[in-house]
Order: sequence, then structure tokens, then C-alpha cells
Amino acid sequence: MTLNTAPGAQPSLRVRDLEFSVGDSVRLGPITLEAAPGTTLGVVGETGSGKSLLCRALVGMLSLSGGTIDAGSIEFQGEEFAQADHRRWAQLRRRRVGYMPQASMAGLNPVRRVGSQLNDILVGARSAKLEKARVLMQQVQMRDPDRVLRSYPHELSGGMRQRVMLAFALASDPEILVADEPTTALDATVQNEVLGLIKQVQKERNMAMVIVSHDMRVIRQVSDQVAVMYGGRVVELGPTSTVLSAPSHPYTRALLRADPTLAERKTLLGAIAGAPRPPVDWRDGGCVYRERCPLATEVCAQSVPQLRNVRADDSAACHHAEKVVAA
Amino acid sequence: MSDTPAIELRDVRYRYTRNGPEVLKGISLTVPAGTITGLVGESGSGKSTLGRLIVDERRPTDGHILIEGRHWDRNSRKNGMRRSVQMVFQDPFAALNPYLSPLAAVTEAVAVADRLGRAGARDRAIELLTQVGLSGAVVERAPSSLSGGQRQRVVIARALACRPRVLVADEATSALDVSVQAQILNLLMGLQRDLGLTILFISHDISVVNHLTDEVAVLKGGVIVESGATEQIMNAPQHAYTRTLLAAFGHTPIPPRVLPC
Repeated sequence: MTLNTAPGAQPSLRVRDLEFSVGDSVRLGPITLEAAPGTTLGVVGETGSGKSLLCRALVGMLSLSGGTIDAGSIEFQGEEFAQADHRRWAQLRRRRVGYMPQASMAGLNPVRRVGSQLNDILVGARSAKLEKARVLMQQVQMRDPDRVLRSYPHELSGGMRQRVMLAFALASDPEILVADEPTTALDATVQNEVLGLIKQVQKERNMAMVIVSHDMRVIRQVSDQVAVMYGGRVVELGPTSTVLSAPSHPYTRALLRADPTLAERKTLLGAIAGAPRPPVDWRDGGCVYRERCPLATEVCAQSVPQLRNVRADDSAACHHAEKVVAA
Repeated sequence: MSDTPAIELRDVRYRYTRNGPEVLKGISLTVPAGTITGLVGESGSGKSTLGRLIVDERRPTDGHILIEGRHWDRNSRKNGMRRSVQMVFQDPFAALNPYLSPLAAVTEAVAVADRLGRAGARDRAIELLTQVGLSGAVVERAPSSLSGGQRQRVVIARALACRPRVLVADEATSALDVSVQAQILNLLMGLQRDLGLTILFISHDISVVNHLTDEVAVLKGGVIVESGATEQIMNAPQHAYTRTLLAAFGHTPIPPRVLPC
């Protein structure tokens, strides 16, 4: 296998106009995003915006949800994988891509010890595997690696299980880590520990990361770039500092106004009327957000807005993005 | 608003089994009438247990719970005390009968609370649903077709059927998306203002508690480590644990950022 190690220039992950679907009714995309070595792309979105499906698509596990990739490209270090077969994806996951699925309890086999499960995914001689398992446990800051390896998942706390999941994802020495809601079930203080650990590991390995969360606080804390998803699409993409302070999509702006962290105490929050839309086929009509959008006009019902540059580094999929920026 | 506190806890202790560990270790707390008081703490700190004791779902092992100056006792059901304290739970998907439309669910509650027939209860049910922002065709639909926010509104309307004085909301917005959470927080602030309702808001989310509440109590390992006016606790936490909790939420006393309209 040839490894492309040109410094800097090439993103570890580049997704272009990716479209995928699950069954006949759920269609997502087109989605465009990328993550460079040592940087983190945050993906933020509400229930049903398609975050988890996107994660699965990125690691070639969409078929587990009964989905298929319909169009577009997914490149890892310049190598195309969108239409790769099962075998190539498996190889990629074994060598270069780490995946932390949502819900740590579901990600681990409850009736097998942690060490034995980790053994399955490591390669090499028996003694080398054991050594590697210990090193991984130390990397995720387990005080007593041997005890953790001997434990069953239920004997570990939520934070420890999440760190075990991180160790599993790191077992392949990945160039890129895809983490789906890595801290959602955890208490705030434990959440901070796990996020801090992930960031530290990223730094040591100069890994690219994609972190998906519904929690804007988490995204704000860990990401350099952010992609905002709505109804199965990326509606805004740009540097976290820009997008989460002066957004150019009305949905992002509404999300920020609904966030109690940013509002004055005891004031009415800017609730968004209605409920989030599930991923649906945007090509059927206009903008899916228009039914909740105060800026919606006729054009929003007629044509689907494409992701376009609104400012230097910030893109939004909205016909009225300029109005949002100007406001 | 009277001077009698809406909820008063005096050295409340609780263990689930006779020889089991004490999960609440002497809680004393006063919730002033007409306020929204936050109860924060991590998983396992005893927040929900305390909520359940307050609505008399369980009796404390030791200590006293007073609602508007009255103790829970065998007459509580008859004298209306039971009705005056209602609870809203975290999971709006589990809290509703899947076979009852919002209107049917709230009508049933009104019929029981006001001892009315279905027909008579219906008008007030519609009124309550309107009060929580649900009207039109949606009130006749099956719960399965409602969003999380709509369901939580139904749960609140149903709780209001008993004309409660106190509402205990246990992680009432935790399962909701940010945009929908905002709707429910606005609704709760409106109920406090319009009905003078006292709300005990149990939550692990410091940002939400900071926004919504007048007073706050911090629970850790079954003990209240700090309580007082929300602003004071957020700006000048005295207890180390409170500081850790605030730091974890990245909460620093910042001037509110005003977003462009």
C-alpha cells in the first residue's frame, strides 16, 4: 500500500457532492466537506438531520443501515472510495480510518471481556497484540490497563467505556477519526475529560477528525471547521469561529438564538417554530427549511438552494444568505 | 405570592431498601412560591429521587416534606394537596398513552380533576391545549405523529388540568432539540408569569438552568452543597464542586451577547 504523506496540502478526507439514500424515502446530500490532518471538522445538527447516517457513509458502513451511496466522491488521501466494495472499505477501516459509533454500550459486546474484543481487531503475533492493547489503554489514560482489559463492559463507567471505544478506534493507527456523538450520554465533567483526551490524542498523532454532535457547546469546544446539517444536507460550512458567531444561514442563526448559553437570563428564547425535518429528497421542490424560515419567499419554494460561497471562507445553502449576513 | 414556601424540605433522608445506601443524606431546601428553582447535579446525585419524593410518589425514610406549609399524609388525596403538585418527566414519548390523541388525553385529565363528564371537560381541555400552544388539527392526531416538543406540551397541558400550584419538571427538556427546547423553556417562563406557578426544574444542563431559574440548588452525592440566587451562584460559586460543574459547561460570567435580529 502506498501512503501519501505529502505534508500539509492534501486533506485526509475530502467529500464532494456525496449523495446517499436509505430505502426509497430517505435521501441525503449532496454533502461537501473536508478535514485536514491535525484539524477537526464538527458536524452539528438536530434529531434526524442525518448526522449518524453521514458518519456511517464516511466509514463505508452505510449498508448496515440498509443504505447505498448514489453519487459523489469520498477521498481518503486522494484515494477514491465512494464506490469501493466491502473488502476495500474493511481494509481502510483496519488500517487508516477509526470510527467511534454512538452509544458506547451498544458498540461493545456485553458478554465478552474488553481485552478479548480488542484482540479481534488487532493484527500480529499474540504477544505483540497484548502489548499493543496495553499501550492503547495507556493512551486513553486508563490507570490500570490490565484490569480494564479483563473487565466486561458493564463493569466500566460510562466515561471509561467511551475511552475504551476510543482505544478501539485508535487500534488501526488511523489517519482520520470519525466520532459519532462521542460524549452525549456522559455527565458534563466526564464529557470534558473525554473531549480533552480526544483532542490530546489528535495532537499526538496529527490526526484529522470528524466529530458529530447535536450539542453546539461540544462543537464550539473541539472543532476548527463546522458543517451545519438540516434535513440531510449541509446548509452551512465554514470556520467554527465565524459560523457560530456570525452565521450566514438563517437556520444556523435560529439555532444560536435558541441556545440559552448565548441569551440574556430569563428572556424569551428564539424558538424555531415547528419541528426539525427528517432527511427528505430536496430535489422534489425547494428549500426544506422554508417552512420554519422567517426569510422564506417564493423562490425558496421553487428552487433548491445550493451551497455557495457567501463570504471568503463561509458557504451557505440559502437564497437569502446575504440578508442574514447583512442583518 | 404568599410567604409560605411552595416546597419545604426538612432534613429529608431516603434509602430505597432498608439496608441499602442512603441516596439522600439530609436535604433541607426551601423553594419560594412563584419562583423557578433549579436542582442541578450529575447522574446519580439523587435529583430524580428527590423529585419523586416531592410529588409523594415515595415517602422519605426520614425528615419532612411540606407543600405550601402542609405535610403529605393520608388525607392528601382528599384535600386537594395531591393535585396541587404535578410532575413533568423527561421522556415525552413514554409519558403519553399512544392510543389517545392530545385532546382525549387532556380531556380525561380534566374530567377526573374537575369531576366533569367528557363533554363538559372538552372545552377546558381545548383551553389548556391552546394555553400551551397547541390548537387546530394537531390536537386530534395520534401521539405517534407528534414531535417531541408537541408531546411535551401535551404532558404539560395534562399536568395543568389539575390546576397545580407546583410543577416538578424532571429533565423536561433534555430529550429535545435546541430549537424545540427553546419553545418549552419559553412556555415554562410564561406559566410562571401568567399563573404564578412554582416550578422545580431538575436538570443536569447548567446553561438551561442559568437561563430559566431564579434560584438554584446544587446536589452532589445526596447532599446539597450549595444553594441560593441563580445569578449569585453562577457568578460567584462558593463550593468547589459547583465551580467544577460550571467550568465543565464553559460557563463564565460573560455579558450577554446580542445577536442581530
